[in-house]
Order: sequence, then C-alpha cells, then structure tokens
Amino acid sequence: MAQGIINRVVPGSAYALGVVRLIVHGTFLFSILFTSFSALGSLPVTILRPTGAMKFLPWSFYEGLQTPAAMVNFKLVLVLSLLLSTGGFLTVVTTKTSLLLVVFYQGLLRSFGHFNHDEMLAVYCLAVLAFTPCGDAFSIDSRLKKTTRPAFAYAYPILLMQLLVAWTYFSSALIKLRVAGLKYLSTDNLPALAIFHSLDNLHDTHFKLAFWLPQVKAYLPFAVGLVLIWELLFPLAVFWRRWRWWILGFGIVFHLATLFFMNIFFPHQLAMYLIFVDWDRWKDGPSKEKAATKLKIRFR
Amino acid sequence: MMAGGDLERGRSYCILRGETISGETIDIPAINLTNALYSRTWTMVNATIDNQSFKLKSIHPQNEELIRQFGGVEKLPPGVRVTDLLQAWGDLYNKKLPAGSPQRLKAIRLDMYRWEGGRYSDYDKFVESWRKGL
Repeated sequence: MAQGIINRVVPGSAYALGVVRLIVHGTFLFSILFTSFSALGSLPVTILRPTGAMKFLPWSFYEGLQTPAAMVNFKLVLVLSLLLSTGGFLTVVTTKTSLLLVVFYQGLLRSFGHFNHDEMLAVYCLAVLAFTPCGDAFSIDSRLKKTTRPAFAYAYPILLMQLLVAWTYFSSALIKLRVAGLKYLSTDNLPALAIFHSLDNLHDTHFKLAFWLPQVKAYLPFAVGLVLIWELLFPLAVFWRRWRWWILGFGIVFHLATLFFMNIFFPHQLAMYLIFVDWDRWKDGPSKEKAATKLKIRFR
Repeated sequence: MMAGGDLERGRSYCILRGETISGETIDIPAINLTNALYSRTWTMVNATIDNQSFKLKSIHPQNEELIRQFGGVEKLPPGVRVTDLLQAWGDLYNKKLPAGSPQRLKAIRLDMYRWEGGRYSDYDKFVESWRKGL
C-alpha cells in the first residue's frame, strides 16, 4: 500500500531519478566552477575555526591545504568527481566521492564563516543520491549496462528528497515560533533585520530597499505571518500536485524578496525545487506533455 | 534570523575600504575578492574581530604564540588578526590590476560602525578602524 501511495505522488522511474542526480550534482558543479579556490587559499589559516569533525584534523593539514596552489588542486579533484557524478559515470563510486568532497569543502567554508543553510539541503540530497540507484538511467553508466529495478527503488529517494525540502521550510517556521513566539510578528521584526543586513558591504549584494520598510511597517506583520503559514503548509507540495506550483511559486517570490530586501539569497535551495518536477512527463519531450494535457482536457 | 529583528538592540557592522595610489578612498565589495565565502563574509569578519580563533580547544601554534606575547586571551586587542585578513584581501585586489595602475591600493582598511537601534536613523556611528598598508 505504501508503495502504491509513493508511486502515485512521485515519479517512479530510473529516468526521473537520473535527472534529479544531474540537477543536484550539477548545481554544485556549476557553483564550484565559478568559485575562486586560489583566492580562498590566500586567506590566513590563523583565522580558521575548524568546526564539527573538522576539529579532528591537525593544524599541519590546514597549513598544507590553505595555500592557493593546494586549493586549486582540491578544486580540480572536486570538479572531476562532480563532472563524473553529474554525467553518471561510475555512479556508485563517484556519487560517494562527490558527497565526501563537498561535505569537506562545506566544512572548510563553515570554519571561516557561520553555519549557512543555503547549501545544506542540497548536501542532504547528495547523501540520498550516494546510496540510491541514481545511475540506472540518464547516465553514461546506463549506456554501458542496462539495470532495471522495481519503480519503488526510484520513487522512494525522490520522495525522501521532496520531504527534505518540505522539512527545511516547515521546521524553519516551527523554530521561529519556538525561539521568538508571537514577537516574530512584531512590526519592527522585518525592518530591523532587513536594515541590519543592508548596512555593511560584506554581504554579497548591496540592495537598499530595506530602508523603505519602516514606512510600511504596520502592514509587515501580515507579510511575515503569510510567510510563516506558507512554510507550515510546504509539506502539502509533496502530496497534492494542485498545491505544489502555488507553494513553489510563492517560494521563488520569497527568496527573491529576501535577496532584494535583506541581501540574503538561497540559490542552492531554489535549485532543489526542480526535484518536484515530474520528469517522467517530460521524458519524450514537451510535445508529448502537450498531447497528454490535451487528452486530459478532452476526457474531463 | 530565527529570533527576528529587534529594533532596541544595537548592532555593529563593517565597511571594507581601500585607499588607492591616486588618493581615492573606495568601497570594496568583499565578495569580489573571495567569492567562495558568499553569504559568510560578514560572519567571518565578525568572528575575526571577536578573536574567535583564539578561543578554540586546539589553537593554531602562531595564535598560541600571540596569546603568550600578550599574556592571555583576555588581553588580546579586538581583531588582532584582522590585519592579516586585510593583507590577503589587499593582495588579491592588487593582483587583478596592472602593476602601474593608479587604482591599485596603497592601503586597505575595515571601518566599523554602530547602529544603536531604538529608531530608524543614525545608522553610522563610527566605532573603530583597522588599517593595513600594502
């Protein structure tokens, strides 16, 4: 019965899981390709604060790694692994090496800065993909050797990743309510926070729209409340397709608003919205999709 | 973010600036220097100002030496490693420009300001500055 429900709400084909592998690994590949590792390696090791498991590595290791040349080499290894896992070559191995290398890279970044959650969702998805048959289709491996499994084997990981996306937002609403309670809906919450994030030039963008917010602060508790409700309702996007595009559409607007009003953006998290697309319906191109829609309308 | 904003709470923030050979003072967006640290640069700077790398269980040998020189962590001035960070950023900035360019930096500095809170004005009360000649 559980299998039946899962197969009904998420696509259950090797093709769909293969496309998701390409999206998740490709997102990291794209962002890392445009990142200067030699600049990162120029930062002084003496400001590093190893976090979590990174604490177990000796300082001599960081001394060796934290140089422009060593960081460029690290980037080359990371890009090679991500290229192979994105393309689906030796997928069983390369999805795991990509996961390990990305987790290490993210740990290094967090040892300089704070625990930023933009990439975390995508890292969890890398972990799911590392232990599921995501190379059975839409991959170089599948061209070399055909493997078929029950639909459940492909549907379950996609459902898990969709639930992770939903949990990210749902838990975010819960924690806001737990930490701040109803104070989170105060008129000064959003303007004070947004202005603080717009004062320096150390954020990635320097939009100044936040300074307009105090003029409309009486209306802002409604906007903040609407965002809280949206976050709490996000799990509906997993189980009800009718709600899905409204919830994801609101998410795009929300993340663009945080960019323009708070200079905070979540590109990796937004890319994970693509996991909600029913890739099976796009398998044979948009023409089949259009035909299917026409048929549905005719038989309604 | 989880606790939301509080108008009554004052906050400090920093602006990264460069002094060019031609005599201009320019704002330098840090993201253009170390884009790997997107979304994190401001927290890295805050942690460096707060000497957090000196408050670890296992401290870097060079930082341990500095603690010995000052006679204890509590005696370190704020941002004792900020000049090292500024040196790295200054070098990265100058590397992008030709050797004779008047836009190259002769110094780079981090200016700290404070918004005391309580009202939506007076955002830029100067606190202190760290400067590194290049």
